Amino acid sequence: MLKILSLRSSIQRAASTRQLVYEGYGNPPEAIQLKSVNIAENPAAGEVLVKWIAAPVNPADLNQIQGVYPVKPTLPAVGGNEGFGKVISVGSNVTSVKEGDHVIPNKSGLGTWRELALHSESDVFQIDQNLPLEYASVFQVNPPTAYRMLKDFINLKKGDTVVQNGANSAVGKHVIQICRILGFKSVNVVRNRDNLDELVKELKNLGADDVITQEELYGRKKKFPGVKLALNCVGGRSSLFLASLLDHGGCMVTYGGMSKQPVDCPTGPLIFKDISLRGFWMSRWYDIQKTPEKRQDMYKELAEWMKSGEIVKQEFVNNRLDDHVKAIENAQNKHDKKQLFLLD
Amino acid sequence: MQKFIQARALIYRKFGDPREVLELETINVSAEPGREECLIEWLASPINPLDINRIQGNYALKSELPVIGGSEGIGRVVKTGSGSRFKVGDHVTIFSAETPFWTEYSIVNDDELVHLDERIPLDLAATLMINPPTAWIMLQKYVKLEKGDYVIQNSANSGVGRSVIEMCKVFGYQSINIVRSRPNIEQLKTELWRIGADHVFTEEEFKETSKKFLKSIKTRPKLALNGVGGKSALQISAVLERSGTCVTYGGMSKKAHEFTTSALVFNDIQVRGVAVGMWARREENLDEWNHCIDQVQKLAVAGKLTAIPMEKIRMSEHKKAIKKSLEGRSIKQLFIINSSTSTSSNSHL
Repeated sequence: MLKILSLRSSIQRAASTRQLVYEGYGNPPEAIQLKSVNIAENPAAGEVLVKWIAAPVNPADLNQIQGVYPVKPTLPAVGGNEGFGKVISVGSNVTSVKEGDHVIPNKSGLGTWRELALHSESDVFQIDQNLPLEYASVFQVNPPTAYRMLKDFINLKKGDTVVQNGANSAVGKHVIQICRILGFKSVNVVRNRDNLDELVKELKNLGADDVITQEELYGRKKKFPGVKLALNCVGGRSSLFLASLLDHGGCMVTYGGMSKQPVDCPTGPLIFKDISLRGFWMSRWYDIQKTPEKRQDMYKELAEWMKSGEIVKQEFVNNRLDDHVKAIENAQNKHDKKQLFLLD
Repeated sequence: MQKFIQARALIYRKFGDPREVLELETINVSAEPGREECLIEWLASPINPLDINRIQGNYALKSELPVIGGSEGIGRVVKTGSGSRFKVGDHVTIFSAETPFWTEYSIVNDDELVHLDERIPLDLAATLMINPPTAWIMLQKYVKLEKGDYVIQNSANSGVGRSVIEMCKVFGYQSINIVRSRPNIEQLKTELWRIGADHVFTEEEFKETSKKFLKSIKTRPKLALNGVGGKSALQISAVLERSGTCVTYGGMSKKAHEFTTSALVFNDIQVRGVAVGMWARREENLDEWNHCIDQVQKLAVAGKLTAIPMEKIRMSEHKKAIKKSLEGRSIKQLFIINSSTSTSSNSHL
């Protein structure tokens, strides 16, 4: 796939590579085009040449192409914010990564739906080289989101209870598993559906202590003592009842708004139980890290849990770049399995 | 034999509709305060929304029945027990879980009494322990504000809202005040400007002009104070500066408080809540609370805090007054229980 073009009058050699580009905001399946471009084959000082291996299609990617995401890359832009690749070569003065390292983006809007690219050293971040593809390609957003929300807001102790809605989401499933690993109880709210029993079974297999439907949450029949942390990605009524479950001093962290409704909170718990509402955005967390240590520690712990199988692999639908229209349409319309581009 | 004095008091013996369960009764109060106790002659006490909730049985903490009504007020010491730190003539209020203000007399333990500066006007003194401290705590304890910083609030015409306006002035913060539209809106705006409001908008005006207005100021508000809930909470929290804080102290609209997902997730705002009674009773806040009361009194003496407009009524008019309070359209009702100028009250004894 990698064609080397010799340019007669130059020592610099160029490589042709393919990428999924959008030149203007719009409906993602139409806005995205597959293009071939030439890039310099030898990284300049401070640059690295990365061969991207796999990259998912996330909701945030689609929002970005629609122009409704807060991070707006300069247009034209390459799609994709997540994924992993392998360092092929490094320019002079590069110290944080070396040839052969596996890397993920170090910032939002880097553009991962491509085969080969030159990046500034500071735009990529090294991860565990032995992490299987299914983990490495979706390592940057969901597992760390679950991890940080469980660590950064409330000092949870073994036996404390965490409640969450959207428990069936990728973040939700990581929350369940990390709770199990760290000894927290999890109460998981899902929407009612035809195959509810199957879903309950799946989440309990991951380590969920309780799985209830939204209707059961609203019915308030079940009591859950000791709820310190609530994780909300739905909003509206669901957040209202989630907040009501919190114990004195508890915190509800919002990281999404699937219902498109505002986050609701009742007066009583807010003023008499001293609960607080916070928000979490993974990109911002990455942006405000001044040194890499906290990120490295987190990646190390997550990678260990993944390699040992304590966190299970996600399931994907694999796509090639040529299938981009289908992949992006499926990502918009089918939410059961994540769409993944295999770029190698 | 123990001596008693008779006192008229507004009492409820069961929880329910305040128009029905609250009765004016005559009770016997001991005329002889015990050790470290005082006999208090109550002068004035308002009807707060809190009182209504309590009588309805809707308050988080339920008192043991029967209960003498009231949640704040001012009284005067008419007799002291042995070892009391108070003296006859002292102005006092109660800060305790039980707050029997709607009675002509009661015996109160020293521990539950707070001395009020006698120079504070009666109507202000009667409403000094809930609203101004709520404003003070919200302005002091959640966000580190610098002079010139903006604070936005809804319910700006409420007791807390007015205290916020006046304290912002004292601390050098700029207040952005949202009120509900009403027929005499210009008059209300003038009144709020007069007590120190920097900007006053109706909800509708703010909806239309907030973008333009926010561009005209240096930095967005770092603190939003919410006594309303519903969409109004959303309105004031959505314009916060990054990592700003919205503090809720009430839910007048009786609707759930709404906050946008993007304000929480992308703008990193925090939402907190405070109930001053609970805050003040937390062990770790004790020193801060005493400091707060001290500061509030100093501001009141200096004329930097003013009383909200209130209608003065007698306890015998309680049915009418409760009705007005329930409807929520009238100004706050203030029971004048004993005449403040009466020096002959000892003659009852």
